[in-house]
Amino acid sequence: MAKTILTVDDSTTVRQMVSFTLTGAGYNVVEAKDGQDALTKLGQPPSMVLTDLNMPTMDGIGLIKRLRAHPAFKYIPIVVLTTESETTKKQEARAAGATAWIVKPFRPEQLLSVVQKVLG
Amino acid sequence: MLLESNAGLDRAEFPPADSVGAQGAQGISRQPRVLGVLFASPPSPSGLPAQRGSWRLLLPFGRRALLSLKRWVGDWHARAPILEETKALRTIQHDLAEFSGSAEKFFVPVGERLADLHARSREIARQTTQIAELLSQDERSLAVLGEVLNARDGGGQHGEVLAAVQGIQENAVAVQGAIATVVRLVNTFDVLGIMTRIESSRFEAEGASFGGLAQAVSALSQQIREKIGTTAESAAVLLETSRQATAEVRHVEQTRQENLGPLTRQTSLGLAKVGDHRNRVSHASKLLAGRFDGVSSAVGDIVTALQFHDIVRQQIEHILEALQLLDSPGHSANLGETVRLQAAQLENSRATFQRSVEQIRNALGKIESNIGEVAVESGHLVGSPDGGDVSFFAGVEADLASILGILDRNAQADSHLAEAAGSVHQRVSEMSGTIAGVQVIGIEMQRIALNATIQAAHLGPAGAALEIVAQAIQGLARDSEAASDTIEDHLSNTRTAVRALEQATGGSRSDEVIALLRKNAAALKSVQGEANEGYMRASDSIAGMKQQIGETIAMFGSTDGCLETLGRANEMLRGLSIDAQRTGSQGVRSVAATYTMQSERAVHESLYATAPRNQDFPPASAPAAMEEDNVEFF
Repeated sequence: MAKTILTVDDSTTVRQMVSFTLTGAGYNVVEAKDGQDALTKLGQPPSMVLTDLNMPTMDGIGLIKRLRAHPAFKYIPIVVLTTESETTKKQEARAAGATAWIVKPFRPEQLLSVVQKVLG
Repeated sequence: MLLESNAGLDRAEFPPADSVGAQGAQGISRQPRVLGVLFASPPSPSGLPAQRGSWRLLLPFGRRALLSLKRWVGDWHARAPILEETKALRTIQHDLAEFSGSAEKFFVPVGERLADLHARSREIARQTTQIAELLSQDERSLAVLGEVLNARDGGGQHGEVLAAVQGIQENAVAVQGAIATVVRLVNTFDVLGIMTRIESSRFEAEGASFGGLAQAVSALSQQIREKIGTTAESAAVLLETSRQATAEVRHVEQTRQENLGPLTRQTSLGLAKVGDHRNRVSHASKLLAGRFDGVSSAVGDIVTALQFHDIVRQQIEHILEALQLLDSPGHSANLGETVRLQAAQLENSRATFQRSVEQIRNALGKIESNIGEVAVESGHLVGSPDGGDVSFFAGVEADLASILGILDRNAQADSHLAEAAGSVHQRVSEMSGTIAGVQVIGIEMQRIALNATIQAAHLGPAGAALEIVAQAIQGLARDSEAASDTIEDHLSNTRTAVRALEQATGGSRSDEVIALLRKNAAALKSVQGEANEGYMRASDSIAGMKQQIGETIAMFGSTDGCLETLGRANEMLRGLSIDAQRTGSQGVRSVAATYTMQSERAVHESLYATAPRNQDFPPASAPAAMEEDNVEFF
């Protein structure tokens, strides 16, 4: 059965490219435009979450903390996909419970490699 | 005119009257502009610009009031952007704010079409792979043509066939010779029969009798003549048949020899064509694989480039935030330097956006080019079914038809040979029955000879002549037996030769090879049909994809407007910062702490760390591409 990945980003083009890359590799993809929207789409726990940091309503750090606080999502791999490369922000994401960090832009094979590594 | 001035300065703070400071050093140069706005003379009748700084109207206010006012205006300018700059900044902010939405209008549809383009490309790849696999099943053709070459000399058995018919002929000649011997014996027997009748008559006159000896000899003589006559006819027929068989074999051998050259040439040509086609299909498959790899690579480039919309959007948001801060208290003093820094950031963003647009255009062009090549190579795969050069299939079909024609002639010759062998076999069977009768005659002769001997013994010395006749008959019987044995031996040899002939002609594989060839020709025709259908489907898919790409390229061509917007904003911002001094104020330096992207930090550092003093702007191509090692696992 195909694994489901939740992608969270306020940019339509980024969500598009993540979906295109992952569905092409056989994954199911659920899109959300910010952290709050993502929380409403967690009816079925995904295999993995891919989230941006800088988003309106609820940013990536906030989303990670909310997910890690929930027993059902405590151990789900959460990968940050962001334009940021600043160390303190990276440390903040790590402390919140992120699994990995990708700086945009990604190449499709890079993203797939990370997903495959994280999902095993 | 005052109202116009104030409209742009609604956020400017007016300093208290006693706080005239000396920090208006930067603003002093701007004073004449405001003063010009506030105290502009009416336009001169000549249309030339009115002279600024007309003091005559202010004379009533007094010199002191005028100086205070000057100091106040100068101080005010030191802490707020002046009118033109404000308007320019507003225009820049407006353009930058609109940029993201307008750029998204072009980027999002490309992303939407990308999935469709990629799916079409994969479908075309699947279709062309199917065609290539279909056309790569050459082993059957190669095997069949190999069989043709193996069987082209009749399996190497014509030497045996020739030996067999020669053996038949030799034995037929020997049989005829043996029968001629028996005929001579029969003539001698006739003479003995006459002598027997003479002696029988003499002894009948003296009162003795040989009973039916003379009659028996006469009857046997008649029987012998009849049987030998039939046997001789059979032997003659056998000889003639064997001669015909020999002639047929020689004819077949000649036919095969005549056909051998063309057959070998045509078959070798067919093998070469099949081998060449195999190489061509393999080469085309590799080229096609390369083209589809090119498409995948271009798709990857587009995936990367489309993300720069978001990256540039965020960079522009940061620029907007920095420009909006200029309206806040305490930040206007850094106007020049802030504008200069943000101009550098905007130039970087503009260059980044331009590169991403070019990358997308190049990638779309690459996809278009690769799919065009796929169309060409697919045509090469199936051998120009649109009627160009003779395709592989048509060529092989002609070769197979030619080979089949030759093999059909060989098969006909083999068929005649088989008929000849059958005729010989039949004649030999007929002769075998006849010879059995000849053997019986010999036995009968022996009986008569014995009878005559006994009767001659009864007659005593008077039966001496009869004794001689009896011995002669006995001699004839032995000779007859020997002759029939000889005939039987030769017939046996003939039967052996006929079996050898039948085996040799039955070993010809022409029919089997012909059947294989016909089957292969039918299979090739079926493959050709399937390949052509596959090609048509692939061509339709390619045409659809070409149209889709063309529309996407045309649609994306309109992004020039977005580039112009960024370029215009960049030029305006650069224009505002021309006079700015690079002092590296704390306020500007502190902006560095707000950067989230490495590219932004690089631009900042190039201005304040490594750029030469006389350089106004950093190099336009500041790094904004993918960082190395942009992945980290925690």
